[in-house]
Amino acid sequence: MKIKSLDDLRKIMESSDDLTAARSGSSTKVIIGMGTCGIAAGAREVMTTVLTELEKRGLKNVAVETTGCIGMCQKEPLLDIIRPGEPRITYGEVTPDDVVRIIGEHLVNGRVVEDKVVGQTD
Amino acid sequence: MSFYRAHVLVCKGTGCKASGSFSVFEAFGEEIKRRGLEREVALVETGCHGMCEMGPVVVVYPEGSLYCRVAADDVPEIVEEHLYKGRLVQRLLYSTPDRDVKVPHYRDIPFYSKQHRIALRNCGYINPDKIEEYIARNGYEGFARALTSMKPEDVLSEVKTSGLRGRGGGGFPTGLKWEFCRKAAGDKKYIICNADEGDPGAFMDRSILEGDPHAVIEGMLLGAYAIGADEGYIYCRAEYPLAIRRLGVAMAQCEKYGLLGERIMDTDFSFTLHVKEGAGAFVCGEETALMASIEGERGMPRPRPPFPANKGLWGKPSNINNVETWANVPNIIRNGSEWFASIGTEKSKGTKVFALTGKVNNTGLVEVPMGTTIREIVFEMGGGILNDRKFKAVQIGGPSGGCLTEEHLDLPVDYESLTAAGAIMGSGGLVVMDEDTCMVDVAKFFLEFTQRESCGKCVPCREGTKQMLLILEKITSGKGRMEDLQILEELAIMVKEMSLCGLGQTAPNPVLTTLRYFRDEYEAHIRDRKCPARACSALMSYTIDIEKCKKCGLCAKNCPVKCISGDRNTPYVIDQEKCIKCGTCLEVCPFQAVSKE
Amino acid sequence: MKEITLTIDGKICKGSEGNTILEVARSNDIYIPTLCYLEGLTPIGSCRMCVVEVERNPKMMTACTTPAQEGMVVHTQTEKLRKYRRQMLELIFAGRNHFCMYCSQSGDCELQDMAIAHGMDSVRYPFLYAGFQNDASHKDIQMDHNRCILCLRCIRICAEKTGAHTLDLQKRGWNATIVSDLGRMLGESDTCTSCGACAQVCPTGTITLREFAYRGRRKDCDSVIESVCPLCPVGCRIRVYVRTGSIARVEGISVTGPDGGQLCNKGRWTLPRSSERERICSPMIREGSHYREASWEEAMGLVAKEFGKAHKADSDGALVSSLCTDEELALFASLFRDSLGMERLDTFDGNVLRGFVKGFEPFRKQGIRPFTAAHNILESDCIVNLSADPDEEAPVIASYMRVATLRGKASLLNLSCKKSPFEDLTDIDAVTPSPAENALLIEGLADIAGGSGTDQEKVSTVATKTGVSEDKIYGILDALAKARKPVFVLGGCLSDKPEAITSAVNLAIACRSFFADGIGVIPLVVSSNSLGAINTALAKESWLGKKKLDFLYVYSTGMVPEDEESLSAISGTRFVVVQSPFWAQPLVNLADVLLPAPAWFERGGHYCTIEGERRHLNVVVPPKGEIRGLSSILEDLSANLGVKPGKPEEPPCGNLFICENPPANARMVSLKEVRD
Repeated sequence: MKIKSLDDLRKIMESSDDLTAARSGSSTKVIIGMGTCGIAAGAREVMTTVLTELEKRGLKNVAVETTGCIGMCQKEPLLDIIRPGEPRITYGEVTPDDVVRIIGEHLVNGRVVEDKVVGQTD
Repeated sequence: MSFYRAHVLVCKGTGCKASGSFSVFEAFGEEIKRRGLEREVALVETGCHGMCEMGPVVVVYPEGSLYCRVAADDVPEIVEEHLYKGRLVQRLLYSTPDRDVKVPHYRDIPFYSKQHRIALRNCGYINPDKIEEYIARNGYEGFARALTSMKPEDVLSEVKTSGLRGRGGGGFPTGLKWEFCRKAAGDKKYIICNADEGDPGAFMDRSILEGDPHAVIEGMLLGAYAIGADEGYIYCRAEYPLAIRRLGVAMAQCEKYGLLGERIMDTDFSFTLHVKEGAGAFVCGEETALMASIEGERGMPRPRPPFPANKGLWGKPSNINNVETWANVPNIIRNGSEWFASIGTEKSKGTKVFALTGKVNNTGLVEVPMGTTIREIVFEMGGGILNDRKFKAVQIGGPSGGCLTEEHLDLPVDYESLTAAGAIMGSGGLVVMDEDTCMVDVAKFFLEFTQRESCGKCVPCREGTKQMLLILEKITSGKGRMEDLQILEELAIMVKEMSLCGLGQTAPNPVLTTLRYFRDEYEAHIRDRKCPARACSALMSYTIDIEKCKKCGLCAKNCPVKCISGDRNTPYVIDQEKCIKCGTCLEVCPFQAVSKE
Repeated sequence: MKEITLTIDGKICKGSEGNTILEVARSNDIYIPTLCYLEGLTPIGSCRMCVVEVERNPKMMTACTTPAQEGMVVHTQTEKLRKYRRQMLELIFAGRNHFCMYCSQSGDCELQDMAIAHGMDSVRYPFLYAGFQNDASHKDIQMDHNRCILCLRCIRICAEKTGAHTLDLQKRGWNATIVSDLGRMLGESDTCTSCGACAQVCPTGTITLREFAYRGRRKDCDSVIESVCPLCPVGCRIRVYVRTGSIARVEGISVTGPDGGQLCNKGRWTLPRSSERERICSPMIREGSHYREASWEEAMGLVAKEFGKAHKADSDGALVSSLCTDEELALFASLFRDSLGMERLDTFDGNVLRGFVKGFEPFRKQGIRPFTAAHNILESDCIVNLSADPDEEAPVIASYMRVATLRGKASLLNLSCKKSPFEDLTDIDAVTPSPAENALLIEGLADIAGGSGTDQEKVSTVATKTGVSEDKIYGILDALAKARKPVFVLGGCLSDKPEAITSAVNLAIACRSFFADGIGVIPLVVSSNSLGAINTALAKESWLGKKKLDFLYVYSTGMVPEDEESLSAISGTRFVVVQSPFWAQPLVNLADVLLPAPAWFERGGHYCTIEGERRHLNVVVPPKGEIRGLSSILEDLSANLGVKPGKPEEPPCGNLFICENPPANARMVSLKEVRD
């Protein structure tokens, strides 16, 4: 479908999943930083652990996405959790072990794993 | 091995034992048995978790919930609520001292608080492989509006008024550069994106291309529209395969949506984009060498005039800009030139992305408004010097840039201030150095790079940098003479003025700035044959303390050049002439009798 | 061109818009030092010696590349520039092995001259004692990379003038060196034509010609004479360096000309070697299988006697070389044809010439000049090679074709009986099984191109008759239709069928191949002065070999071998007089009387070249000993034969270069006019 006008553009905008927290609708998301800095720090292992963990727990409605480098390269691998209606939280220096904790505590139970948090954004 | 659906780990370390973890352990054992959960729940005793203050500590997996100060009486509740019903026992969970402190927002974290992310606005936020996410954040809105309701001259004039200057290092006013190309005679024009990013340690452009390729594509579409070009190239170094892949995906998606190709959005404007991979030459980041490379020729710079705006790619008028410059453009068109001009200083508008690296706590990319001070960047965003060492210098601009010292910490970061101090903005590489960094070694490091990357076309760069490097090698290996400093400086000045292209013209900068601000270090290397920062290994000497030496002879046995002599009755001594400064003796001495000066 | 005024070193200088600062300076006698610059090659500004200060410009500019502008104020000799130039020269000397004592080029070296001019008597930088290769793999050209200053002149001339682009750089920075063919040594190169242009332009002793290295520096020679090469129809201008009566070196003259001052392998090596060849120094008379020296009286007397007998029996003939000058050919024509009434006078390449003359005749009748100057190939955007082998017939023509194709982006089509000589550059290769089909192909194409639209039936007929596929024929027609200025290079072998030549010109006219001086056809006639022979020594009809003769007078310059047919006819003649400068085998062995002649370098005159102009030859070395000029010898012969040599009637090729009717008025002709 070709974009022929500003209206066409707006339609796509509106139908897209909003990435911002407050209006994220019904989707829960796990977002992993997969720029080269992230990959160098081990983001691929983090990604694999996320997918395994979600499968182990049978969590079916969680979207797993990737993103680029947000700049805090010192803290890579970075991992973001979005739950409907809640702020988007970024965790830093995430190891595969941390993934298990984060998914358990935050994704499932809603408790932010504070010792790994870097920041939140809306 | 049987599969348990839950594991209960009870700490039986000394600390928790003292607070009663053994009885907690037994209580769990009984309760699990009573509830018939032995087959499903595993009870494990562990060592110390470290948080002894919070003991007895119990961790339940798979949730990884950490229960603190657990008493034997709490056990039935934990088994009932958590293991049976799957509900966490909130009152026992670990929490930080102030339970009411919210998780800090990005804008409150020092690393981000002073940043103003324009070029990096989408990086780390959206999925770069999905054009819909870019559009969801107002992507292509600027372009669509420009194409349907603005004239090309208006787009150009917006960029001019915004005050945007080239972010690749030159700092040339972008709008003016576009205007030269627009005014040049000829129907066929090219738009080029310089994504060669050769500065060692610089990765601003890489992050933008990997994290937000559409920003660059939209910028180039706007540029092509404003200038009157219908074809463009992104020259990306081959060492960035992920960036190239992301660009390919993004371009394919654009084509699908009709944002690239013929008659875009049903107008007369057409634009085809190609990606050309570099082949490992820093010199191909120079405009004319880059164009030669695209043409299939050897990547060597060509004399200017004629300028690319009049005679560029294949002799046609071409406009070339850096990745970060292009990424700024959509924002300018979408939010207006006034908005952009309101950020930054009078002559340097907007923001700049810096790659903060070196001896700081927080390394990474920061995008700050022009005019932010170096102190703010290094100490606030960077979190100060690593390991609490002392700040010594900061190198700005990579191998083309210069060093600035403590006296410059309050210098605002903008084109004019940096040039006046002897450095350059460059592409944004910012390397922080502490007291353990040898400035002569820094100059040598950068010169090694530029000398290796010199294309060889012109005499000053080809021969001059080689001779300069030889002098620096002499100095750092303790063979320098005072006259060498004068020869070095004269060479540096000549190479800077007489070289054909930017590589040669800026290669002497690290040498010149370190000579200007750290001449004493050079002189120490020459006169005293010592490296004040203790970094140049050739100038270090290893000595054995006679008092501490127990005459065991381990050092002599392990010395690869057999330069240590002594015996059971005579303390061992290192022959300084033969010593190759490998440091093995220091490593193997069991009595710490060897020291390094 | 608009005139501009600028100030250089305080002097008001006038130049034209578009000139560089260096050009303006030179035309105003202001010296700016240069090393990499060579007039005629694209300036690259890499040596930085010509850097000047321009007021109100913060950057230093290279004078060789920067366009001069009205009102510019330029300083070329400031204290700073002098200091920097000295530094750079010292860096060059320290960087590689510039040890003048061992170098054949010492005394003749631009780098050395520059160092002396800048007072460089010491080098403050440590010598790096480079260990680059000394490439001696080529049998004639040597490349010692340790002396190279990377001025890149050799790369530029090989690419821009010779068109082979054999040389380029490998590696980077201080380690960069010149290589051939993406990494080979020169002797192993596939593309090198061994023309030696690289050696001619090399400012240092990096590229040298082994044979001439220690024979004589350019500055040391006794005389330097400009003349014209006698070896092929292009007639390249040459500069000959003479030392102790010997030719030390031959070079092309000016890189600014369209031929870029290049010579081919033949010109550069054959010419100097020829001054060392064994000479026929005095008249010789055969006795058995030996020759004995004789006096001029005896020799001339014998010749006259034999000639008299044969002439009475109408069994005499004269065969002369088309390497002779206009003046020499006119003398022959005047003596043999006019004064002696000999019908049989011809040149060695007579058959080829007659073919061309016949093929061109219908257009001469229209007052049109049916060919253009050879260097116009460089202006073309579509070059058609009709059975030519330029590398053999006229190597500089091959250079033009390569340069036009590679740099000018011209398309290249080959229509001949052999594969294209330019394998990787050819767009369409239409090879026919034999010359007959080739002639039909040209005829067919002319017919279709001259008509309106592209007749499919005709294309199909041509395809069937010639064996060339329809696709290719459509391709050729398409390329020709798109071309604004096509040119057609005619190989010498086309002259076997004069109608093929007429068809070629027809095709050119159909494609509107018109240049200011004539139709876009370049005929590769055989010899350097074939065109000059047309109005002089050329016979109207071929007679050689038709009947056994009793007397044959043969003049050969000895510079190119004679063809089989001629030699066979000569050996069947009863009495043969051979006049030649050299003991040219096997020709001289067929003679009964040998007469000496001045060599090509011992006489002057004119050649009519396919470069579209009459070129002047100078005497390089005056003849020595018994060697006499041709006119003096022929006067003697006339006296002995009892006749006076007449005066030549009209300038030998004067009318050949004239075009009375504008080329655009040319009309295609029917082949009936040319067929027998």
